[in-house]
Amino acid sequence: MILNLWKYLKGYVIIEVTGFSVSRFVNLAVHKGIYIWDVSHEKDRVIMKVSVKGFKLLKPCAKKTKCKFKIIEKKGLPFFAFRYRKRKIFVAGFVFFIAFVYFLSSFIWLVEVDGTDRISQEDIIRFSEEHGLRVGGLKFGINRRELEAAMINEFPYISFINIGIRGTKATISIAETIPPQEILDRSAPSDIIAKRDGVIMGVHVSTGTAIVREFDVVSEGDLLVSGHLTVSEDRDPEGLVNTHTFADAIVLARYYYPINFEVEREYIQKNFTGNTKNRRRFILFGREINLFSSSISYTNYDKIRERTQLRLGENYPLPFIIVTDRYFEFEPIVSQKSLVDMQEEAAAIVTNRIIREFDFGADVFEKIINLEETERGLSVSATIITIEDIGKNVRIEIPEQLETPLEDEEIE
Amino acid sequence: MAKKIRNKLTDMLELPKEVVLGLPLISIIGSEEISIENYKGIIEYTSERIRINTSCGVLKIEGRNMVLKQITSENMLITGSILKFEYLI
Repeated sequence: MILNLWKYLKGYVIIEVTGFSVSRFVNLAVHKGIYIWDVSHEKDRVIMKVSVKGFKLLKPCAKKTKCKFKIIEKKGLPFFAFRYRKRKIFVAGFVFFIAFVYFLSSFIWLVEVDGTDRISQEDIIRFSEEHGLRVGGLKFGINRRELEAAMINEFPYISFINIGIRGTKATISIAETIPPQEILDRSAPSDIIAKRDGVIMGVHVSTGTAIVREFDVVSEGDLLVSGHLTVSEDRDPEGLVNTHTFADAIVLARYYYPINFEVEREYIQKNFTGNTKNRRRFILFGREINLFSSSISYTNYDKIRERTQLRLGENYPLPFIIVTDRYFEFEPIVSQKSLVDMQEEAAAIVTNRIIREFDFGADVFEKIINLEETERGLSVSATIITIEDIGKNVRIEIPEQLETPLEDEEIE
Repeated sequence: MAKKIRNKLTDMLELPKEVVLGLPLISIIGSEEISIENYKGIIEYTSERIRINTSCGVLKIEGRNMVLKQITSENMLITGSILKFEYLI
């Protein structure tokens, strides 16, 4: 295969040799170091292939052995190039084509995001677009390491990121992690205040002085645990020392979340008529081309959009996208839900909201769900009782003169 | 006499004979390909019969549609269907 390619590039001649002693001719030529191959016999002539270089040395061999040779065909790139030497536009077109393909492949035509779960892909793509990595942008000017570092700073959930550019496709691979915890400055004195209203269910203090007790009702901003300590010195029972420390405590409180919403009895059922329509559009270099514009006559329809990007192999997506919109006509039919269906829906909504809206640390203590059937459907008023830590550290500004040094601060 | 001694010597030292004695090395793949190294020259060539001069006599190959696929001064490759292969000493 490689040898054949080499022969083609160097060029070779197919000749026919006639005469009394062709074998002597071949012997002599081979002896001179002329490269001959594919010697075949046909009636009274012998056909063989000779390299261009060897062909020029063939004349004396023929004279000596009294053979005659004739060119049948010239093959290879040198002859091909010679034949088309005057077709300058053709050559220019060929060169232009190669250059154009190279030019196109130096752009990015697809940005993919991999491995995201909590971070939205749109955010990642928008952020990378702002930093130069975008569809239709040149792939050379991108500092990938810098962009990776910028992304890790921007999105706290990212633990690992790699941007790979292969062909015309950029792939952003991401591994997510839990967000890093806020680091509290434990050296500075602080109080704990309530971040929301609630009934205290338990106070567990490591450092600081508890101000509230169990079953106290607190409202937002109330002091729960103070960083102020009053310590009695062992050596002098009379003397009391005032000091401040970082208050560290878990203050569990009962908290009531009201959830009110309505489940409607009526709903619209889609009765598909079976009529569908397809509309195709093309997006070439980010510009939309609408060849077949027809208006949609359906009053009610579902639309499904499909994007197909043409690509050369896996790594060379092209800037040519076919967008197909499929329209499915339906007739809206107003239907009524049964009571059981509405109850199930209400329960599902409540569960969903607990998962989505509540803190990770909150324990659901009780769920009180009141359902009331009304004319329009089902009125739901639920109260979710949770037990959670409502404490929040706030720094204390201490007047200078009150500060007295204390070696052992772990005193309660 | 000299030839005999050289023959014994290469046997003793386990040297490759085709190198030391200038003998042809012939390898045949099935009945379709035959390669001859260390030949001296072509005596006759048609698509049915090829005679090649070697240091140990004339090698005669008979077959059908035989083609000299490759010839250099040391090596020769013949393809086609080979029927007969003999030395004429």
